[in-house]
Amino acid sequence: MKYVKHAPHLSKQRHDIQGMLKSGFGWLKSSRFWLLTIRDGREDQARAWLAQLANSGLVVSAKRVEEGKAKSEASISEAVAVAFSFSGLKKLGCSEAETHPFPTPFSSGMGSALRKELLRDTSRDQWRWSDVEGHDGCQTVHVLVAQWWVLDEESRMEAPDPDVFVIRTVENNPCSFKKKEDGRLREPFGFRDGLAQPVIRGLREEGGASRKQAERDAGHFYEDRVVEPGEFVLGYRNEYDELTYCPNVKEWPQSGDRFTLNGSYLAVRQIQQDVEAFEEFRKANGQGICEKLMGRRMDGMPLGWQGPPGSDSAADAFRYRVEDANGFACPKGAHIRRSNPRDSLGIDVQSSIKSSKLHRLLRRGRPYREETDSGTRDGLFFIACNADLERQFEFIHQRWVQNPRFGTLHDQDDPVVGSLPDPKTFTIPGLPSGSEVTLASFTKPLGGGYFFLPGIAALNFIVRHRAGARTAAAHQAEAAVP
Amino acid sequence: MKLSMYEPDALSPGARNFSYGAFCWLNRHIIVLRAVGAVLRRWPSLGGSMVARASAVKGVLTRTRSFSNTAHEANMVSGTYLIGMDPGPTYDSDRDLVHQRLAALNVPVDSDDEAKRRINTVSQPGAGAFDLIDDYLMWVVFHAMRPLYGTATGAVVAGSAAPAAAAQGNVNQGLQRQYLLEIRYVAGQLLAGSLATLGVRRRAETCGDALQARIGRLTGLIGTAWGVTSSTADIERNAVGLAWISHPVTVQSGALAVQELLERPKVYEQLRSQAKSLGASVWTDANFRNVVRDHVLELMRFRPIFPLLARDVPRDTEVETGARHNAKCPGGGKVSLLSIAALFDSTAVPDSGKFCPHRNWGNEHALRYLMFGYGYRQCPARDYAVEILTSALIGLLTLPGLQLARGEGKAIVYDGPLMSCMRMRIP
Amino acid sequence: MLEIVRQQMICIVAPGWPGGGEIPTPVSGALNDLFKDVAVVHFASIGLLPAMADAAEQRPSLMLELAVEEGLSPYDLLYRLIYHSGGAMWSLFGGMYFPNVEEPTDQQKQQLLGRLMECHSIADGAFVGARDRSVRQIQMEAELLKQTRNEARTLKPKYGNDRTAFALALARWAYTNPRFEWAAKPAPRSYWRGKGAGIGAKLAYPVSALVLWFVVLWLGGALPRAYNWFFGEPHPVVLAIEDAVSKTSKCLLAMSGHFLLAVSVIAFLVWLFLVPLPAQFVSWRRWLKSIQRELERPTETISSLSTYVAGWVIGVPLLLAIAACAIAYTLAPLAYALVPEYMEQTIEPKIPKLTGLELTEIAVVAIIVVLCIGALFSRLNRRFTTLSERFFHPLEDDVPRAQQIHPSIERCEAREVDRIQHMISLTDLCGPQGWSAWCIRASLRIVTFAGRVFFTQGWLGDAPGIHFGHWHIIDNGRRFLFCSNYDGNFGGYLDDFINGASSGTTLAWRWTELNPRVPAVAGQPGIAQPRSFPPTRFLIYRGVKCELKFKSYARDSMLPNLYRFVACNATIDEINLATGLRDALFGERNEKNDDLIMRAIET
Repeated sequence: MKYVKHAPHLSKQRHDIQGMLKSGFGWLKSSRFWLLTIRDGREDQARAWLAQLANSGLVVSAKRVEEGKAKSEASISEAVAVAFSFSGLKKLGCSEAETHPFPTPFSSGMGSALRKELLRDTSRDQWRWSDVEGHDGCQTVHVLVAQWWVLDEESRMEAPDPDVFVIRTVENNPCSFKKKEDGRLREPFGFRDGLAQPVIRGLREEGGASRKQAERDAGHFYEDRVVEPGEFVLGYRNEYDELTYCPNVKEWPQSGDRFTLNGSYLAVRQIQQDVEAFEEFRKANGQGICEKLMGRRMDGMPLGWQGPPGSDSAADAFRYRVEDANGFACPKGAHIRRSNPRDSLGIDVQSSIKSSKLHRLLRRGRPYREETDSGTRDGLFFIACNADLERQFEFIHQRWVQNPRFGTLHDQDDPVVGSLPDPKTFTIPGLPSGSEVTLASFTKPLGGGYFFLPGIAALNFIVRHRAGARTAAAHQAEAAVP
Repeated sequence: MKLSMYEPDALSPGARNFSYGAFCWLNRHIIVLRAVGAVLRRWPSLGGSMVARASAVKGVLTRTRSFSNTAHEANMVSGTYLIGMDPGPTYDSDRDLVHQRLAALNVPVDSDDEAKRRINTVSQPGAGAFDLIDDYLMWVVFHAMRPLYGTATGAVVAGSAAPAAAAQGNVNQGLQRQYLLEIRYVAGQLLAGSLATLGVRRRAETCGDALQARIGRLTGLIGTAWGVTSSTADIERNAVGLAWISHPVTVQSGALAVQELLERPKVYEQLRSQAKSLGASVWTDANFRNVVRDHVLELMRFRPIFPLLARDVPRDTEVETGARHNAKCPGGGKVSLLSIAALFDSTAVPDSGKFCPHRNWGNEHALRYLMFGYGYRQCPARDYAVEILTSALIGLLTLPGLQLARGEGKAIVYDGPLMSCMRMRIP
Repeated sequence: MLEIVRQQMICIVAPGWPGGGEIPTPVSGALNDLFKDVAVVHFASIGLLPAMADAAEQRPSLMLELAVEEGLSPYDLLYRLIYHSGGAMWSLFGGMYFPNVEEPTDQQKQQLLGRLMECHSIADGAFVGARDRSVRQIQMEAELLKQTRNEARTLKPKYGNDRTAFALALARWAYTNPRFEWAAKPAPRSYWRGKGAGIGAKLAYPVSALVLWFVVLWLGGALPRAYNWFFGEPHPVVLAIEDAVSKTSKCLLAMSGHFLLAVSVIAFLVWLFLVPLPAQFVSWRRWLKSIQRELERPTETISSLSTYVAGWVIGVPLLLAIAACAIAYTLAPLAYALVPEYMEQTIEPKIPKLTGLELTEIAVVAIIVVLCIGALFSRLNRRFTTLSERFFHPLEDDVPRAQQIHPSIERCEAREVDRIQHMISLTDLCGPQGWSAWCIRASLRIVTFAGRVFFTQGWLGDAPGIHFGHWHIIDNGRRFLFCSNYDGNFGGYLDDFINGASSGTTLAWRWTELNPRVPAVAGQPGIAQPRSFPPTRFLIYRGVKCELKFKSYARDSMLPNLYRFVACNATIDEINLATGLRDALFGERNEKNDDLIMRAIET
């Protein structure tokens, strides 16, 4: 019988997956994001700096994150993730293979004109950076370096050289974990963030007490959030029950697994939030209306929650179709209902849940704060990990969040991140008939791009420029190391 | 004021009689409904939009925005009232008024008194058989509910504000009986609804008209008795509603409970011997009263007066019946609840088939009162009704024995789905 | 019945387009005016189809796609379009047949009409989402919805809390508004959406056909006797004829009865194994679901391979055996009529004689055995977890060049982001082409039938959002064209089909392939490497479930459009809402209508 070769097992590849996909590093409360453009002619120095970063042990793998959680002496105090845009990969000498090219959204980049229309961005004049050549004053970012470290400590990462790179940093918002003193992540408008993340089967499901507690809290809604790994990590089974498409790079040795195995795509947007305008709106209309806009209460519980606030798992355990089909509790155009409609859009509950699992995002962004001459500006550095940009990020953005005709709504896009020109309306359904509020837009994107988050071996390959490529045997050997 | 207008019967002649007959038969032989309920609990998809499981019934009853009580509207021949209204300002003000009136009741003192009096009358030697409904329950409940109209009760019962008739307690027995029959037929229409034959429906409509006329003459008096300054229409609506909604339903529930008790001779014997051992303190002993109350609730569980409820569906929605796929409820349609099936759902009620008055209901304490509704729209007079029936049952337990009086014709005479006469005999 | 649906979607494929990759602005403006004026066209689009590799005419073909209202014959429609005073059709097509003619004569127009009738094709398979609605109706109802929303905003402060009064006020406003006189009649519904929507009406046709068949057969047998009774004893030749007639009719009756019985028994067994047994026994249900999952697995696993093999080894022979038994049973009366002695002496002894009770016992035992096997499998699965992990782990798979979109197609999609999306897909029929064409036509007829009779609410299977989807077999049965106007975006649209209507989509496309072709004009996509449709199992499984392969296949086969006309930019949800609002505003005043009005103005 012909030897049947199995696809890679996720459990054996944890050493190669960057830790960002496994954990949001919630205990590392400081963050900084570096947007780097490699200057012409400095590719070798850039590679050298990246190689030194990769060797420093700060780029953690999923396995390392797991070890850090299991033993307190191995806990991680600083973590770094490195991602490249398509132009960045080309600049560093990796050109896509013809038999397995990168997907069109990634290769054309979020900054391209077509993607602007497809993502329904009305204007990009205020964009400061993107992943392709943009207008003057718009930086073309090649490398995204995300850094998380313990609050109020010094970071150990060596800063990049301004001679080699054009550097833009997005700094931490010190209030992101401090509001309300419960130590949870909150975004600049004051809402709890980081809730309702999908649980990746085989990767993020830790065994033991915390998972059992989460399952208990969620009741029979726990399965709604368990998603196949291929939705976020390339090369594994996804919600269609097939292996995610892994593009390849010409210079990668063909004998091993493909270049993009264990990688992921990041959809990144820097969103500036107008906190003052939001506060004024809240004063004028009340906290209740603000919560209806977002679709959740400020403390993270869903609207319509009775009783004392529950755990994060309980905050994600609800559906819309039976209890709230008409939007009386959570309005049909509210932000979280748009970005995750759960069981409300299909023909019945099971098929709706199944199809909503096809459009999940793993969010890894952090609030940021920018100090300017005219004061501080807060915002959210939004990072979404997914394996199929068109089906996940772009679909949610185009068909749900920014769609002025979402469901049967007319001329209303997302109240929080929508881009329709002011003044906008927002309908709040109710009995006997709903009400409308007028609002202005509270957010403005300042930049964005698609980045590829490589596996550890692929990262080594990029920075060592072929010298670091591993064969399949070496892969197995390294996986066997406990 | 609701104007009743003649509506001819839309069904073909035999079909109406047949369906009404089937409906009445099912109500009398409630065990059949329990069997149907068991089947539907096991295979919910067979029921379509009829829900049988306790979780599903509770779900429907608590989703007051998706499932509207206006389904009752059509059966209310004497005008709209709380029970058939959607939530809103009218509903809220009516509900407040009901609570205010209920606070005026003095239960169980009044019901105890009347029960004692009536028991004395029927246990006179040589009294022979008596009618449980017409000679006992009707009066016990009536007496307990007198304070609902305050000083205007006499006038309401008499039908006019004439000074002689307005004196409390001196209203002619015949007039009282007329009033009580009126409200009974109006209440009966709530149960039978659109299934009733033309004759039954017309009778109910006539009684509804009469009741409205009766109240219409006395709105001023009632308003003063109640001490409210609402408009005439509001007072009329509430007065009419209060008149017919509670008395007949309580009486019927009591009769059904007694019927169930007499089919369980061991339970009856135990209660009776307990009553006998207490002697004169049977009316004052709090423990015994609790025991009887538990028994009343359990008996009502086995024979609820409304085994089948209906709700209107104002807009397209789904209901979780427990089947693998939710049942779709199109807007404009109806959803039926087999509440008797929910009361015997073994996932919610441990050992549901057994007669166990002291059952530990655990988390499902509210489910015990499912015969009165569930959640926000549950009957506000629930506890009062249970107290009245407790008094009535205690009274019956003081008798040396009780049997259905078989002999001259049937013991129980049915008028449609309800009992109109239940002849009892003390052996 | 199917013709009326198929005629709603027409493609005119005119070979030999001399122009480039753009439709000049005056021409597209003229076309817009034409379609607006004619007012029966829902959607229209123009695409360029590359020529076939071995065709004489190597210039691309111009394809005009029209989705029109129900009931128009192609000739009448084209007549109206060509003879319209704007002359748009002439400026588009005239140059191909009559170059350098600015103002055509009537005779030339007639000739153009003839030419276009030659190269037109009505859809082989078609589905209409927003049924029974004319263009004007959709536009006017959308206007009604918009005006009602505005009016509600002004009335809201007065009637805010009272649904009945609010709805009554809006209804009164609508009634007295002269612009909405047309809405006073209820919205039209065709038979299958209106009176025939219930299961009774749908069963009436086949049941009455069956009854009619039996009645005709019986009459045929009874006719000779009636003849004899009326006319008296006939001539021996006539007697022989009558004898033959009555024998034939008796035989046919028996055969029909046997056939019906065999079909009922098979249907009962299928129902038994698919509905009550899974509902009762969890292990059986799990096993059935796992079989389906295995057969549909896009990436091979050892489990899917073994299920496939088991299907061929066990399933197919079983089905063939049952089919053979049913055929034998049906033909038995014929055999008895033709060769009775053979039947009695050789065949009958071989057939076991079982009473009904024994048959039922055997059936019950068989069911129990099957259930036990199912339970055994799930127990094995649970006990040997590592082994079962290997058993269910995907094997290596490779999909080349996936997730690639040609920029011209992306440009089309970006242009239509706020409107109703459109796609054109051109594939080749795989050989033998005659057989493929026949199979595709049969499947498409089934899909059209299902869409006409059963899926009347705008959803095909579980897939929503299709306005007009149609398939054509063109170029003498060598190529396969698919055009669709749908809500949503391409990926989501295909996802809906992959998840909700996979068997139908697989059947429609499984006999196609993509051969290399050059782009029609520069800037349009061509095909460099051939692709085949993802492999299917047992005709309907797998296929489109291989999402990467299917989407790359579909994307590679797509062509951009040069021109697009949309009569009314309303999604299916909005159209349905607008029709519902019209019926509620002008209909009876009851709870449901009042509530519908409230929900409609809320959006």
